[in-house]
Amino acid sequence: MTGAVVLRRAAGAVAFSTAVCTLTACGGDDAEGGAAFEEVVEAGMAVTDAWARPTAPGIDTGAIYLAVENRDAPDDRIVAASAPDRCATVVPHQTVVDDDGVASMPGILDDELFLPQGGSVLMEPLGLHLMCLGMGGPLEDGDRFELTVAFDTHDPMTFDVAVDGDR
Amino acid sequence: MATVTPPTGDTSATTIDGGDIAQSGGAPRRRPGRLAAMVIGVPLLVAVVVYGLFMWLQPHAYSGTVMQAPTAAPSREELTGIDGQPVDLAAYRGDVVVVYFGYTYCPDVCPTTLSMAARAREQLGGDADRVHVMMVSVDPARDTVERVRDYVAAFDPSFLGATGDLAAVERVAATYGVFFAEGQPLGDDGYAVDHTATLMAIDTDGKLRIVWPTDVTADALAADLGELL
Repeated sequence: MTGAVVLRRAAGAVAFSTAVCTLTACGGDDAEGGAAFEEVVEAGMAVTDAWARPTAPGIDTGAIYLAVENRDAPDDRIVAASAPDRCATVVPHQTVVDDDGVASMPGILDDELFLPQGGSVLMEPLGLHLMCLGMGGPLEDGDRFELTVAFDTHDPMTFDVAVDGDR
Repeated sequence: MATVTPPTGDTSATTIDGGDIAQSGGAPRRRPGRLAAMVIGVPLLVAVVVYGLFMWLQPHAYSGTVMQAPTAAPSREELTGIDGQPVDLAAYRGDVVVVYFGYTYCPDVCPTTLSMAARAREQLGGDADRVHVMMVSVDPARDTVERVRDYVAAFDPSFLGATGDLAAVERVAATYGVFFAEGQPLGDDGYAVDHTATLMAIDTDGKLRIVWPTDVTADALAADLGELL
C-alpha cells in the first residue's frame, strides 16, 4: 500500500515537472547532474534531452545529442544549428560503423533530418549528432550552453544543452 | 447450546494428537493448501538450486569475440607512450590491456567508447588497477604525445595513450588488423579519420584474446574483463 502511494506521488511529480518544463522550457536548475529531464515544446515541435560530453583541454570538436519530435506541426526538416557561445560552427553529422567495425562519418542525407508530422529525429552516440566545431575551450561537466535549431518552416528553437560526464 | 456442543477448536486439538484424520475438524481443510505448497514449492526450490548450480558451473559467456588461437600481442615499441617512453607491453604482463585505436579530434565514436570503457573499469572496483586502457592514435599528424595525454586523461586518469610517426602507426595498426584512413573534411581545415573502432584485450599472458564491437556496453565489458583477470 505504501508502494502504491509512492507510485502515485512519483506519477504526480513527473506530471507536474513535465508541465513545468513545458511551460518554462526547463531552465535546468537540477543540481544533481545526470540525466535531468528536459523538454521544450513550441508549436507542436518537441526537443528533449539535449546533452554533450565534457571535452578534454585543447580539444575543439565535440558532439551534441538530442531528440526532436514533430508531434503536431506540419511536415518539416532540420536545416541548420548554431551555438555561438561555444561553437564556431555546428554541423549535422553521423557516425556509421560497418560490419568490419570501421567507424566513419559520411555525409548526411536530407532524409535523415526529415521531420514528418508524428516523426522524429534521434541524435545519439554512434549515430546522428550535431558536431560542434571550433570550441573556444573545453566543455566541462555541469556546463550548459544555448543551442538553436533551425527548421525549414517552423520557427527556430533555442534551448540549453547540458554537459554531462556521467553518460 | 454451548454446553451440548463443545467448541470445535477443542475437539480438533484433542483428536489431532490421536492421529485420527477422519475426526479432526480443522486439519482436512488446511491440508490441501499445505499439500499444494509442497507440490509447487519443493520442485520450485529444487529447480532454483539446480539452475543456480548450472549457471555457476557454466563457463563465462564472453560478449566480445574470443580468439580461438590467441597469439602474442604485436609489439608496440615503435610507438611513444604518453610518458614519452617507447610502449613496452611486457610491463603489463599479469594485467589486462584494452587496446583502442582512435584520435583526439574524434567527436563521437571515440569519446563514446572511451567513456564506456571508463565506466566498465569503475565497475571492477579494486581489480580496476589491473586493467589498462590504451588509445593508440590513428592521427599522428595532429596527435602529439601531450595532446593524447590530455585527451585520454579526461576520460580516466589511469588511461594510457600512444602515438608515433605515421609509418610506425601504420605498421602497428596493420599487425592488429586495424584500418585507418583520412575521411570527411571537418570544418575549415580539419578532417575525420575513418578507423577500426573495436576494443581489443591483451590477456594476462600477453596474448591478444578478445575483440569487442564498438557498441559493447559497460556492463558487458566489465563482466568480460573480470573474467579475464
